[in-house]
Amino acid sequence: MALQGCEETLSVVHPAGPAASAIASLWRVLLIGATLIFGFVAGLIAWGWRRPPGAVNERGFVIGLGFVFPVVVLLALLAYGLVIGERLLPRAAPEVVRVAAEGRQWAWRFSYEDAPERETENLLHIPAGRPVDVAITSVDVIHSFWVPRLAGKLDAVPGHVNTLRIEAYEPGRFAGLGAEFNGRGYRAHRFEVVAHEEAAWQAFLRGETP
Amino acid sequence: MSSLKRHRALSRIWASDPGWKGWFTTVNHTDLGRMFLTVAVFFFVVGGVLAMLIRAQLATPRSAFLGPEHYNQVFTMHGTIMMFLFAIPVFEGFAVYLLPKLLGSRDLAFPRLTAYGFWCYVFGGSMMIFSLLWGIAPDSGWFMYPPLSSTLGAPGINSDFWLIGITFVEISAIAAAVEITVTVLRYRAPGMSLSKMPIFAWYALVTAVMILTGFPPLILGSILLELERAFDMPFFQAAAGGDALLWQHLFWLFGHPEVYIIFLPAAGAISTILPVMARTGLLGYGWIVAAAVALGVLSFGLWVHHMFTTGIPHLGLAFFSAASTLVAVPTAVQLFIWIGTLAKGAPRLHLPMLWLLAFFATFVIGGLTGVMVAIVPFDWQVHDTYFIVAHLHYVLIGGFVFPMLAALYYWLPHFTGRKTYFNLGPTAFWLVVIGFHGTFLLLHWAGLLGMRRRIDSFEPGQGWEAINLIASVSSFVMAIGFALIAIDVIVSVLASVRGSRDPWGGSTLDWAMPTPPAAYNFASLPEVSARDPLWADPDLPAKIARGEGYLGDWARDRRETLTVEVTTGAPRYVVVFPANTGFPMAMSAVTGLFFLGLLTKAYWLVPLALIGVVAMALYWVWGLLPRRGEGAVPVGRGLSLVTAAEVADPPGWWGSLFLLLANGTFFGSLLFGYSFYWTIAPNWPPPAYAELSLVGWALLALGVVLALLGTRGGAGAGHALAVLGTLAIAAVGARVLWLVPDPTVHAYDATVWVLVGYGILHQGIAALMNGVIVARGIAGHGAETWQGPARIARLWTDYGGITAVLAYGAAVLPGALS
Amino acid sequence: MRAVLSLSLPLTLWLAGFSGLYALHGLFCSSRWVEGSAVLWQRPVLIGVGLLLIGAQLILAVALQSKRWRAEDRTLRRVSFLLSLAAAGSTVWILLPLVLVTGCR
Repeated sequence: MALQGCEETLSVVHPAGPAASAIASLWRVLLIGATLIFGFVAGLIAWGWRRPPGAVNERGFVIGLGFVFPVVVLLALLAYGLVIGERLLPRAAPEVVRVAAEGRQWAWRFSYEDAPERETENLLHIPAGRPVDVAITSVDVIHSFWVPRLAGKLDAVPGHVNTLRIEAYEPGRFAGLGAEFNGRGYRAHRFEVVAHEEAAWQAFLRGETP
Repeated sequence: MSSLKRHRALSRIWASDPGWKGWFTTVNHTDLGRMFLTVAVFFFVVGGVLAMLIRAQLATPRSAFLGPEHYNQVFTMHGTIMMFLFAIPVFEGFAVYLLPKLLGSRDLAFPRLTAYGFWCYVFGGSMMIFSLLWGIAPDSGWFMYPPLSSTLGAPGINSDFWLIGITFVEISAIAAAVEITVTVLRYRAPGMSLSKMPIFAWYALVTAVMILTGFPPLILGSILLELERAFDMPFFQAAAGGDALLWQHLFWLFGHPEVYIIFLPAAGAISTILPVMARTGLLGYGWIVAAAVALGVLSFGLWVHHMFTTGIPHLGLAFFSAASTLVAVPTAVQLFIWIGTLAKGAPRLHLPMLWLLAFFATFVIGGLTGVMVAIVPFDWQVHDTYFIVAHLHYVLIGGFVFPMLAALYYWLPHFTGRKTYFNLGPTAFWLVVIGFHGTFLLLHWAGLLGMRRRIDSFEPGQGWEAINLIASVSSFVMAIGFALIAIDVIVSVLASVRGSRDPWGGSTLDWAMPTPPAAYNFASLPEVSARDPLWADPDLPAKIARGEGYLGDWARDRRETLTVEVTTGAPRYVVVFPANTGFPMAMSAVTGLFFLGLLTKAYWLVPLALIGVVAMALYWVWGLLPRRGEGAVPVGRGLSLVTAAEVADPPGWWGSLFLLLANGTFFGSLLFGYSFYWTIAPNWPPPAYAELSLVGWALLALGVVLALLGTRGGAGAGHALAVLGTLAIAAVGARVLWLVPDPTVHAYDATVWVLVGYGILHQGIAALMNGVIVARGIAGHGAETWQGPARIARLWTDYGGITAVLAYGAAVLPGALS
Repeated sequence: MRAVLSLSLPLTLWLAGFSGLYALHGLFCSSRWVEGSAVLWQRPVLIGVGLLLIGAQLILAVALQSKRWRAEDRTLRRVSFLLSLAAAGSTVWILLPLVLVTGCR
């Protein structure tokens, strides 16, 4: 699966999996809503500026605009956001694949529940089309595991294990980033995710290099 | 007596020392306010130069201008300087200069404390600049997450500069906050009830209380992290029972209110300036007060939205997502009231109004992106990217810098008494505003394309090159705009002609005085009965100058002002202010030695400096204590009032009350941290617990009873018993520490040391205070001046006793339960 | 000072309640509250605490307007009432997650 161009390898708005897609749709709603509200406020200021002096409807401004308007908008937005957040949570399901990611200064080590002897560095293998739960932790400072085209990010905190669900729609390669500032090598703290179609995934688990 | 004679006499009494000496010995709020603002602008320039370095580095991909070691220091110091050495001190300077004038008072509540706070700011800020110049500046990001900022990730001295230097500077913020709170509540013109106060005073009050409750968690976190770095006490190390997440909670418990502490004074300036520009009254005073208070308190419930990616369960995050969207409501109320005020009035496009329009355009965008990132799944993608960098600059520059520039141009005629010389204002305005949006608007998009924040360079081919080049070029345009503003202001200060006293037709008391202001503010303190006193009585300035208010005569030849009832504004007592003195600066220098000793690990210096500070504090307090009362003194208009020496609630009592609010928040944060360890931290429970025997509990109870009853017993003997009580409580604490010999073993042991150490420290403070009361009695001070100091000692003794019981109890409770 | 307290108490109660709810949720989750198909007791407890908080807000609102405790100044009395309403509304608002969101994932 070839990518359109390099600009999109880290792009949040070019999703390649269900989690990132849900968030990209959310972004579009947020952008349109924000633009409309900004336009409304700008128009209101222009109207207010040019209006000849005289009493205004105080309650209209304070209660109508200051209170009712934001409450209605925010209620809808909050509900939408909470529902999307719920959908992204790693719930139990039979086809979930479990892997682990261990962050360190300045590399990532990945291990696989279905292939306990395998460990890869800076390259995470997953099956395409199946949900993958990544158990993330750190051995030194705080890092963060982020594959922008597949899902949001989750921190690697020493002493804790945080689980992130990622899924790729189709096989392919996806760029990953360490997304929490961790010192001198931060810029290059990157990794790659390769999503295999089923046969290649099984081959990987058996120990072959697909 | 003529007005001129009055002016000359009052000027002689109130003036700071002339020349250089005046800078070091002044306790006058007008001078100190100007000094705060000047130093803050200096730090803004330093922070701005650092920003220029950042943008120069990021203008092109793979830039070799700065390596990561230097770049990491540059961006860390950019954020640190802007947040701690510019934004908060600008509020302090602005409030220090303006509040007494707005409120109709002659100075703030504690003039020497203002000076002490200023010098702590200067000395602490100098430590930070030193670290920058020597290339050993903090380099773990302005919020300094451990383990990166601790011994594991930053073994050098860099982080210590942040932890120690910034804590030193925070003394200034706490001092200013205590002062502002007491001043707004008590130091107003007679008749100015709370609901007739200028709206800016309400904002300042809310902000000051927020500082008192918002800064202590950070101070606690800084102390814990420094203890970890210096003495291996493992607060943030998971292997030994600590947790890196505790730092994030403590930091953001401060960090979120911090940005509202920054925004609210700007909102106060807008609420003051916009109606004057629109030549009408503010649309809904009561609504604005409600909105400001709501914003202030609600902002304390948002902090976890900075931690959405740390692995906290979704329900927990959802609470904070809800609260973070909620906070947009009081913000919107203020915004639409301002727009309604514009609609109601006849606005003029003067320079302050231009900047207010820039505020609207910019802050609304920043607020909208803020609502976006309050939605958890969206934040999961854009957290730690340039989307956040863009958002924060939109709200901070749009919501603080632009209104402050409006305030600068609005009050510049007041500071200088002159008109502006060149007409650089509008040109500078367009350069800054266009430069700002050019820099930051497209950076939202860079974040969405995956550009992380804090990277020292980037590879080509990810779609970021054009955005960053435009941003860098625009940032230089913005810098030129700021430079023009600086030139404009400097030339106006130095060279231009005298302007009229009230060029904008303002309604508040700050315009009822000659400009630039005299050292005494008001020749006599006016009786106020309206919210807009100058619009209600345009002849008021002349009446004030003629001495028709209170305290218009100088027969007692000393600096005096009035305090009032909190709610009604009825006059209560006379406060006598100190003369010029270099003591606060000296005490700040000795305080600096304490911090320097910690920083350089010259630990012999630390107890010496501490003794020095305590000795100087005792000297200061002893000088304050009145020997004899003088009874009621005439204050003008037929009224006679006692002085602060003879009342039960002197300014020092009020100051103590609010300082204890901050202290209590500190202690509460400590208990929170302790509970956090018990529930969330890995590797708990600890291997062993502290215990207290029955004898220990009995001694503690005895100590508490002696301390609390002793301070209520009246006269010296009771306070002597109270001293014994505090010593007993301290001894119990020492016993608990004896049972926990090594604070480096586990976070539990380390926390017990901090809990018990806190308890013992406060017994020391209470013992000293009660000792002073005893000494006072021995020295034969009068009975009529006993109440105030005794009640202050009682406050601190009560606080110390209660917190000691809670602290020791928390330390030994797990052992008792298991 | 009564006026100042009547302004600061309503939302401070909200903040205390909010923090308490968050802490309670943290306690439940640290003792491994996992929701499967059955609705366990933790959610109703949290909702119950939430309802109690709303009740407390309403009681406080009435108390702050009562002759005994209200602010002397009429404007501030009005502001206090507004803030009481805001605090009650804010308490309702932050209970929304309890309706829409699962427990401890």
